[in-house]
Amino acid sequence: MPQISLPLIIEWLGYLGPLSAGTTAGVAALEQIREVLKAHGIAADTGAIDAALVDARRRLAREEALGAAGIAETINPDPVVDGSEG
Amino acid sequence: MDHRERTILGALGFYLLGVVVVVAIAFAAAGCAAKQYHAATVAIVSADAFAGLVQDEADASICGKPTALPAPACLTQAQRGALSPYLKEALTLIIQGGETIKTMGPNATLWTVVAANADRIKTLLQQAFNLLPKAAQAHVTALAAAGGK
Repeated sequence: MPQISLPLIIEWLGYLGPLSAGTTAGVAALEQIREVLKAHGIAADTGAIDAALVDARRRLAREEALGAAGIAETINPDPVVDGSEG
Repeated sequence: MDHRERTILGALGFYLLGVVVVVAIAFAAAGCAAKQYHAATVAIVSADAFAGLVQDEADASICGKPTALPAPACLTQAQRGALSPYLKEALTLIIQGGETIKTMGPNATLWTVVAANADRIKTLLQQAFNLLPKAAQAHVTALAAAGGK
């Protein structure tokens, strides 16, 4: 289901007048509603998938660095404190 | 309630019912391709979110880190390494799935293509999750139930 926002609802309500006006206008309005819903839903989905791709690539790079450099160096880069100092 | 009030309420009820029907028809008419696009997106985005929770929890659970519990409730470096191949394959498939969605766009066969990947991703993430210490599993489950961090 596409995300339903207030602007989208207001946009739908704008089509309700023509819907009650007659068959031809009603069909045209229904077609417009269909396009609005598709556009809103697809736009939201496209944004979500783009964000997921960025995140997944970053996480895969982190996982690969972990394998290449060794877990201790990658996960815990803090230098070991030498107890002899100080 | 007099006849006039009943008539007004009846007309209002009919109008509201009409609005619901119009919206329902519009959703149905939004098309199979758009629904498949949405279903595929939800699958890949959710999988990425869960993979992220498992990875963050695994990294935070490495024995000796300030965020880790004492042994045996932490992950040794060898255990963290054992979890890595599952996460790597899952993340690779998530990226492939995301690219497929972007390439195909709203398409009536999209879900069929993505579903095969989604099943494998689910299995891999389950295997990675099973390698976490119990306390870390509980933390991931709580975060996932709450919708992420």
